[in-house]
Amino acid sequence: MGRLFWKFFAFFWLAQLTSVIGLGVTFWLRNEMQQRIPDAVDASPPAAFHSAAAAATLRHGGIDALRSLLEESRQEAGLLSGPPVFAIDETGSELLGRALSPEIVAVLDSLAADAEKHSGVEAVVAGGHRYLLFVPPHRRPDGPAADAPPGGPGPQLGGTPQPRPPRGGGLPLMPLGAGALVSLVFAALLAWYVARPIRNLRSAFEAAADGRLEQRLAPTMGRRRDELADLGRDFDRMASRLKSLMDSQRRLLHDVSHELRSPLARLQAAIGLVRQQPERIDDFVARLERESGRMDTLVSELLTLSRLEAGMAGKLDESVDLAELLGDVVDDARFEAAARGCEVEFSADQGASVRGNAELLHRAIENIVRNAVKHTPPGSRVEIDLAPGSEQVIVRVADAGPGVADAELKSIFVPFFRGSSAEANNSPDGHGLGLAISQRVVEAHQGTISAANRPSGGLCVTVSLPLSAA
Amino acid sequence: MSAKVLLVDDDVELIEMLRDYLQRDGFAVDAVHDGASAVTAALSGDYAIAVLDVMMPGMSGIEVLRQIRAKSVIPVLMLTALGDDAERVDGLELGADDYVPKPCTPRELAARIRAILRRTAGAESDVENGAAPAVVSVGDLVLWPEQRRAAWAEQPLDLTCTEFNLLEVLARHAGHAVSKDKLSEQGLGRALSRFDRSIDVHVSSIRHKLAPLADGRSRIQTVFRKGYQLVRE
Repeated sequence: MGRLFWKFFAFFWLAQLTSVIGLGVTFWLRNEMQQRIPDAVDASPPAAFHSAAAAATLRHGGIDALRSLLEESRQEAGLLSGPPVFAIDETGSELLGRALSPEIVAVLDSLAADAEKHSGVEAVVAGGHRYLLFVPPHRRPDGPAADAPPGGPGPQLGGTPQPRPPRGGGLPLMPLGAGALVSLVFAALLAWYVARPIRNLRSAFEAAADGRLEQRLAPTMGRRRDELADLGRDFDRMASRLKSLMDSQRRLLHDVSHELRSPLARLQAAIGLVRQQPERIDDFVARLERESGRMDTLVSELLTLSRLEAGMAGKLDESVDLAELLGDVVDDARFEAAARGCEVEFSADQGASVRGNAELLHRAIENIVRNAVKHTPPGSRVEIDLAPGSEQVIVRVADAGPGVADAELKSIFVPFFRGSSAEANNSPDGHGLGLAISQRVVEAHQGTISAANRPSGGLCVTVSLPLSAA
Repeated sequence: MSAKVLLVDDDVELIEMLRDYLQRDGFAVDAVHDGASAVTAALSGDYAIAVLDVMMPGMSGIEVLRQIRAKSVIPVLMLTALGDDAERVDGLELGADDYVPKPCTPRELAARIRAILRRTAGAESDVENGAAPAVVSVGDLVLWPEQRRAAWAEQPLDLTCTEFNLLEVLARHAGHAVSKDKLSEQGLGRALSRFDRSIDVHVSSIRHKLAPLADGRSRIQTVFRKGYQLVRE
């Protein structure tokens, strides 16, 4: 259990404990008040009868009638005698000016608030005042008031009642203790519920910091649906993205070192030949030049690729006419194709203007076209067409070469991908970066690129770019 | 001497240059550029040695080696990427005789080829000079260096050229530790370089081919900081 757990636990428990104790004490006080009312009111049937009689007198005869009734019952014993009825108005003064005992004073407010609820208490409004009528219990040390013989020592009205045996024994400790225990359990559960996913998250972060990105949080979250579960899922997404990025970087590094090694091996071989056959030095130096040129191309392509991947594509806001650009590319490609005895067919009826970086787009299209020229067999033709639509312009480059295995159609855009068909890969001039660069450029222009095998044989690469609003 | 060398690499231009160099150096050279034709050529029996690139598209050099070794003990020199230890050990375990890191100078390649070929042919000249006995036997192990044949308890042992050479060196010094330097020089025909695990991998292959001692220990014992020893029963 971490510190967070204990903090949550302590706070939750404290909060629950406070509310339990607060509620408990409030109810206890209320209860205590209710229980003290019977101490101040005699609720026995004779007392209630006298209170009711007094109330009727007041209601129908008025205050003076009540006063005379009370006076009589006070002075005379006999028929009218009975328990003395007190009549108290809202200011707290008794009708006959009799003194009130401390018990009565203490409960007067709560009595006035709900007089109807207590038997033996009557509330009557008369003469602009609201009177509470009731019989205070009158006890004497020697016996119950009702049995007091007439003429005996008068009842001590409102006198101090005998102390009664304690009912609850002060504060109710049992329920409070149980409440505290239950709140303890709930506080622990709540703290655990909050602290556990955070602990899992932390261990996943630690693993990630150590380079282990395989750890996933989704299984530990279960069916939980809240911000913490969302956080876990976000972490999972981040980790898997990081992992795929790291893997691709590692693979790229491996491929780069291999690709750099090939021209180096050829350089070494050429140097060996120069030493062995100094008379053919001119041949071999030409070779050396060619190899170092290839290394230069490879390195600059790598730089372009890494810039594109880092999102540094440069300015993408020139207006570029794709028809014109394709025309330039095709002119160069025809020259190359002629050397291999094949043709490049392209005709544009209308221009298509896109917004972007002319140099990058030129490079992207050139890579696709040169790739097609490289793979199309001698005597065949590479067909290029440009189809501007309403929002997109589509460029298709189709060759008549061997095509690509269906499973590898996406992989040809991965840097350094080498197809399983060996024959096409013998040329030392291809590094497998061309189409990867094309893809990055097209994506930087919010376009899409895809490859498909033609039914008639050969590969068709389709580029779709958004037309500029102009 | 015009030993026939088979070069296998998908890099056509490199192979052309290496062929040029090796031919001038006195070898007869053929080149193939993919795994399938490499296996066919190596198994044809026309070649004294095959030089095999590990990184090839399609069938890798390792797979080519596996298929060659299934049927033949023709000496195989692997061209491996520098610093890729796993690849190298895989190759040696599968029975490659030696490896050369790529890029390498053609001179080094020629020297390695020559070293392997000398070992293959070497024993015969030793016998002709009367420098070595015609048969080496240690317990149940019998080696006939001039025929490059080995037998264990009358059963023929199937050893690659390098394994035979190493076992022969160990057998001639049976009961004594032979240092890795000496094994490398006499068995591989080259000085041992630092961090080079070739000898260990080859010895481990030989161990698998020899039955263990009665108590379960290997017949070839590692002698700490000294090298290896063939136990004399």
